[in-house]
Amino acid sequence: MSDNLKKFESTLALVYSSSGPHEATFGLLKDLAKSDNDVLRWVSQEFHNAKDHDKKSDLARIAIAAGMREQFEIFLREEDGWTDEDFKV
Amino acid sequence: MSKLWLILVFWLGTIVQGTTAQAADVCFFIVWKAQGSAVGEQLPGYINFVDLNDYEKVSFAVMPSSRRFDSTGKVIESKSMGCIDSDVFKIGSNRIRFSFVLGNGGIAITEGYLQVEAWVELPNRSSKLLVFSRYDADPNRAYWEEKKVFDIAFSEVDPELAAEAEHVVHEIQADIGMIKQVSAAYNAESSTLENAVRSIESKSFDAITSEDFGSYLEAKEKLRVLRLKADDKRNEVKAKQAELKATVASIKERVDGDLRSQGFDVGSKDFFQVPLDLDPILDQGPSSEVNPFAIWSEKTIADLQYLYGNEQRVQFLEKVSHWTVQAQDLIDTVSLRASIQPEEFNQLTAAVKSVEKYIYGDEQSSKGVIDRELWFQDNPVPVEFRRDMADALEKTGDPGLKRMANSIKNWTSPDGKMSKNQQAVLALSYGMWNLTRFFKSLPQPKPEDFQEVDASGQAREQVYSSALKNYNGAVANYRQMMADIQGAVDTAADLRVSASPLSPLKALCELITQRRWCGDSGEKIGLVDNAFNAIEVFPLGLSTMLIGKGIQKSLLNGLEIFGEEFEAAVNVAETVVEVAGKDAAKAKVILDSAKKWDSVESLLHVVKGNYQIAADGTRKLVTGMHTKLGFDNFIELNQSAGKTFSIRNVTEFAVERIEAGGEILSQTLENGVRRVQLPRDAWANADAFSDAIAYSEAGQRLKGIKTLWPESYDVSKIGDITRRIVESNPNIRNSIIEASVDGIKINVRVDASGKVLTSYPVWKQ
Repeated sequence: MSDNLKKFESTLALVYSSSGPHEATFGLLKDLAKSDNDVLRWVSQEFHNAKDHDKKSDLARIAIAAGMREQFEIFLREEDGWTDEDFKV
Repeated sequence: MSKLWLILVFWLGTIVQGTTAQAADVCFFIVWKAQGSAVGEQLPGYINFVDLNDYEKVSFAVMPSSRRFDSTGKVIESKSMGCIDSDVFKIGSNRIRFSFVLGNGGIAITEGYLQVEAWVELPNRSSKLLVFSRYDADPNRAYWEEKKVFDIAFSEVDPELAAEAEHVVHEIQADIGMIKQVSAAYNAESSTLENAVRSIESKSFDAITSEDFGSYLEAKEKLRVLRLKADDKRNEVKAKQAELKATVASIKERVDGDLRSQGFDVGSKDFFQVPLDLDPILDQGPSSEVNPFAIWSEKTIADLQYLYGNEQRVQFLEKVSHWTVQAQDLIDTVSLRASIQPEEFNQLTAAVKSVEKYIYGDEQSSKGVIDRELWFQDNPVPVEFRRDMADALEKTGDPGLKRMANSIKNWTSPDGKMSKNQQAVLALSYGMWNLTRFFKSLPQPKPEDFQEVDASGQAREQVYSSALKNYNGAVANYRQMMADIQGAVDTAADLRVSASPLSPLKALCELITQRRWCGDSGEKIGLVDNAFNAIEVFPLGLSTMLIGKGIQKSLLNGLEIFGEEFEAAVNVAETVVEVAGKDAAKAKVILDSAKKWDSVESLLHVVKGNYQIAADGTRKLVTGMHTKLGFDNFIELNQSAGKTFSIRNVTEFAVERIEAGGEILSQTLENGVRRVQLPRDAWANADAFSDAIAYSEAGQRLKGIKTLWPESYDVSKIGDITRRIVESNPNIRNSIIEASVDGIKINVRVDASGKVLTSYPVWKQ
């Protein structure tokens, strides 16, 4: 497991274990996902394994920020009601 | 004036007392005949005429002229003639109207009847029966009234001449009609233009944009041309009037001649009534419009008096400088017009002189507020400083600065102190003189330089580079300006003049060169200091000039002079000023505190936050905003864009997302940390909204939240705390540091190099 992935996992755990705010946390997670394909693959796998809706949403948003819009767009549209406006960078 | 004679004739016998019509009059004959009864002695009486023109009733006497008798001696026919002075009788509209009362000398008609005939003998010697009446015998009646209206037309007097006159008059009147049509069109256009001029004149001169000014000049010019045309039309009408008058006079002369040749003296005056009323624009003569230049000069003087009276001397000088450029531009613009009117130019120069008199005084009566080198008259410069400064200025070799040096040498000073006002004068003398010269040297862009090219066409950069071809000359001007500025700053440094008075100039110089004191070997200046410099430049209004217009931007980009750092500094400065509520002094405090931060971006992220501006002007939050200053700024900016938020204090926050609306939930904790929750539509998009989450005390996920540093923590203090946290955790990088300082739980995100990206209180304190 790469250092980035370790950092990603531990940081993601912070989202669900600390009170927040998590804007900076998500910022760090997105930066890590952008910079490492291993992280991105892990995000994709974790998304499919996850049962919790909030966690699936968080992972989908991280993945989309890292450039994987096609794979996760439908989820956010259907589950969270995202519109075209929300996908604008 | 012609005369008309009315002759009344009573035929009551065979004796005709010979009275004939006088040669100078038009004659009417009235004959009174009796049948079976005698006609009484005819006494003088009166006949009334009514003039059609003014309906004035006038009278004239009738006198017995001849009588006839029967075999028994009875008067059987009486002829009378009446005369009227034509001075009181006018022929109007080619017609005559009259009525009369006849008396029979107080004698009743006791048998038979009385017959009255009235004839008019026309100037052509033809006669026309006007009245024919018979009155039955009536022993109780001695007077008979005849009310007759008889119109005598000019055509009856002289049909041929009348037709000719009618034709000529008709033609001339038709011409006048056409001129009046043109005049009406001028009136309409004139009204539109005058409205446009008034609209612009009603504005404060300072508020007039260059477009306004262009429209104003154009409208004034059109109005002026229109008035010239109206003058032409007025002259045409005058010529037609003269032609008509001459024609009428000619006809009258012929009529008079004809009448005189026939033995009558009929005046032909007033045969024609030609309406010559004209439209207002043709009638009004020279216009008496408002003098906008006088208004402008009065307002300028009033503004200057206010600034001087309130010890706002730097602003006074800025206003003088602004006005000087404006006045020269105005004079140039007006002077260049080929069609300038002396009156307008005189108005402008008088206005300029009146302002100059206030500012600089005149030789006779007024000393003025400042002299031509911008030194205040009431606060002169110390001798030693003047000498040193003059020497330094001469060394520059610049003609303008040498001129200033000569002036300084000749100055006398009653004391040895230099006031701040004088220092400000010094700075502005240098700066504005140079900068004004530079910006005035910029060539005007052509519209086509900045037109977007067609869809297939060039990128905007290409358009800019195309435009840059026009600015080669500006390069030399720019470099000269920089040399001048640098020279001035060096001089000031040599003379140990404090940075304060020179700051606008020095700031610009440093902003451009990115070097301390503008020198090539000077210390490289960081973004914060450069943002400082950008703020310093704001009061000079240069930031707008430098970056606000495409022309300058393209010029500067194209010359690769300012570069990204310049723009970044200006952007940071503008952002800080925006956060500080347009207050430059407050902005400086923020930037001063920013020196505690190693990144202006992180400072702004924490203090202000990052927004997107929606199409309706509202701000949508993306990230950041962890101070009350930034939060209030966000609310205020939205308020000014029409989006109002109300703040409700709560102890619990909404678990279900707040979709839209104007309510922000807020809670201030005991340690001063404040927690807020904004509705969904305050955020740029769903991602930003979903990133900003926290968990409630009950473990519920809350969206759209923010935490704010305690209100008492200024930017400097936040920077200090953050710096200490980072320095205390040297091993934590590219991560989020959790810490607690002064009873506040804090998170700081740092990048791999330890640079702070953000710093904020956590949700659960």
